[in-house]
Amino acid sequence: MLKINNLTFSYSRKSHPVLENFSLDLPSGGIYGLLGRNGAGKSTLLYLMCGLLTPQHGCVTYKGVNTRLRRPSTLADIFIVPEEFTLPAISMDRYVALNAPFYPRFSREDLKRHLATFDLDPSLNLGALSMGQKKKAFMCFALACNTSLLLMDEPTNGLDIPGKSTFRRFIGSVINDDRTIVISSHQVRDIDRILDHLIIMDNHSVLLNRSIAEISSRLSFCTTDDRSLIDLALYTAPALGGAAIVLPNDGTDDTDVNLETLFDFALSRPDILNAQFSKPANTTL
Amino acid sequence: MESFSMDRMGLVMTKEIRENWRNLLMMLGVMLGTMTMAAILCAQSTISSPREYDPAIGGEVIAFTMLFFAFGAISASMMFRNMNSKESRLATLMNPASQLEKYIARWLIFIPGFVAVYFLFGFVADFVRYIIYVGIIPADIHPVRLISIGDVFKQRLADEWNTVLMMFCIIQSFFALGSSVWPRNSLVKTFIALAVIGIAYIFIGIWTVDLMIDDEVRTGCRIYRGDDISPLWLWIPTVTVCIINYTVAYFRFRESEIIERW
Repeated sequence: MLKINNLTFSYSRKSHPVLENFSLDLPSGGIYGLLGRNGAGKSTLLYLMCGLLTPQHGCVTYKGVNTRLRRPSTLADIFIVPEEFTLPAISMDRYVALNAPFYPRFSREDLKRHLATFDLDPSLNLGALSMGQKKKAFMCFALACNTSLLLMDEPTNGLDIPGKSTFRRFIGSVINDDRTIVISSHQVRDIDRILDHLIIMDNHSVLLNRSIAEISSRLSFCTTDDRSLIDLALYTAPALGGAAIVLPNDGTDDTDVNLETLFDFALSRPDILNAQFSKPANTTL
Repeated sequence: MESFSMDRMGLVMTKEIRENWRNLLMMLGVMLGTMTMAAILCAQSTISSPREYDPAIGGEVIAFTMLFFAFGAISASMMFRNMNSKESRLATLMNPASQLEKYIARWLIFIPGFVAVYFLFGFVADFVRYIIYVGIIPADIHPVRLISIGDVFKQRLADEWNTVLMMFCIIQSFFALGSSVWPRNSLVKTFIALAVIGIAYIFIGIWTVDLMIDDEVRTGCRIYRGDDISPLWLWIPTVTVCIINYTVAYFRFRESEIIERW
C-alpha cells in the first residue's frame, strides 16, 4: 500500500541526511509501531510519507501515487495526527460540517462512538478544550474519517492516565484489514499491547522491521536473577529484580514482547538481533 | 478533475472563512471603524465651510483612496497567513484539496473579496457620516448628501483613477507575493523590501539620466508624461506584473512544505 523507495532526505544541503537510502514497505492492514531515538527521523518519516516534505532522492508512493504530488484523492485517504496541532475555536459540529465533506468515508456514527469512548460531548467547543482534550477530539475525528492510512506522531503525549488506557482500547477497536495505522512514540508502554508490527529506526535506516508475532516467535523476554539464564541471553540490561534479558526462542515460549528491552537491544547489538531473524524458524537455539 | 473542482474549491473557501471568522471579522471591524472615522473627520473639518456643495465628499474620496492602498496591502499580506506556523502549515497542506483550489480560494477572499467589501464599507461609512452630520450642519452652510459612484469616478479624473487602480493592483500583487515569501510579519517585510527596491530604482534612474544626458540638455529638459500613450495600454504591463507576481506566489505555495527550509 505504502512504498518508500531509496529515500534520502536532509533539512539542508550541508546538514547530515536524516534518512539515507531508506526503504520500507507497509502492506494494508495492521498497527505499526515506529520507534527510534530522538532525532532518528521518525516525525520526518511520517511527514515524508504524507508528502509534507520533499526528499532529495527516492520517493514515497501510496497506492501507486507519489504522495509528494498531494493529490486530493491521496490526501482524502491519509490522515496525520501530529504531535502538535491547532484546531479552530469553533464547535465540534461546525468543525465536522466544514471538514468531513473532504473525506468520502467519514462516518458521523463512528465519530459519536469515538467521542463517547473518550467521554467527550459531541457539541463541545474546540476553542475551550485543554491540549489533552483537543488531542482526544482530533483523534476521534481522524478515526471517523476512515482513511486507509492513519499516521500518529506521539499520540499519547498530553493524554491523562485514563486517556492512555482508553487510547489503547480505542485504537484496538477500529483496526481492520483495510486500515493501516502507524504510531510513532517514545511512550512504548502506552502502545506495546496494540502493535501488530514494529519498526525500529536508527542511523538513517531501519534496524528492525518485523511483526510482533515473528518477534515473539524468535525472541523471548523476561526479568530474572537466574545466572544460568543470564549467561544464555542475547542481550541483558539491569532491571528491578535482576536483569531484563532477551533469549532466543525455540518456539516453546510465548512471552510478551518487552519493547523497551527490544529497543535497547536493537540499538546496542543490531548485528546479533538481525542474525537471530536471518536463521530459519525454530532453529534458533 | 483531480487538480480543480469548483465544488471542492467552494468547500475550501467556506472552511477558510468560517474557521477564521474571528480574525476576518476583526479585520473588517478595524477597516469599517477606520473608514467611518475618516469620513467623520472629513465632515468635521468642513462643518463651518459655506459651500454650494458638500465639501466633505472630496476629502472623503481622497481619504478612502489612501485607506484603500493601506488595507489592500494588509489584506494581501494575510493571504498566506495560514502558513506562518508548522501546525497551521500542516493543516493547510493536508486538507484534501489541490494546491490550486486552496490558492484560488484564498486569492478570492483576500484580493477581489477585499475590494468588494471595501467598496461596500465605503458606502456604509459615508452613510454613518451622513446620518451624523445631516442634522448638525445647517442647510444654509452647505448641503449634506451621500456619496455616489459619480463622485468617485468623475470623468475628468479618469486617467488619474486608471493610474491609482494600476498602482493598487501592482502593490496588492507584491504584498501577496511577499506573504508567500514571508508568512510571518509579511506586511512589514514586504513594505521594507518595496521601499528599498523603490529607492534603489529612483537612484538608478537619476544616475542613468546623469550618464546619458549632459548638463546643458538636462537644464532645459522637462518631464514628458507620455500623453500620446493611452492609459489603457499601461494596463498591459500592469496585468503582466500582477500575473507574474501571483504565479510566483502560487508556485511558492504549491511547493511549500511543513518546515520552511529556504
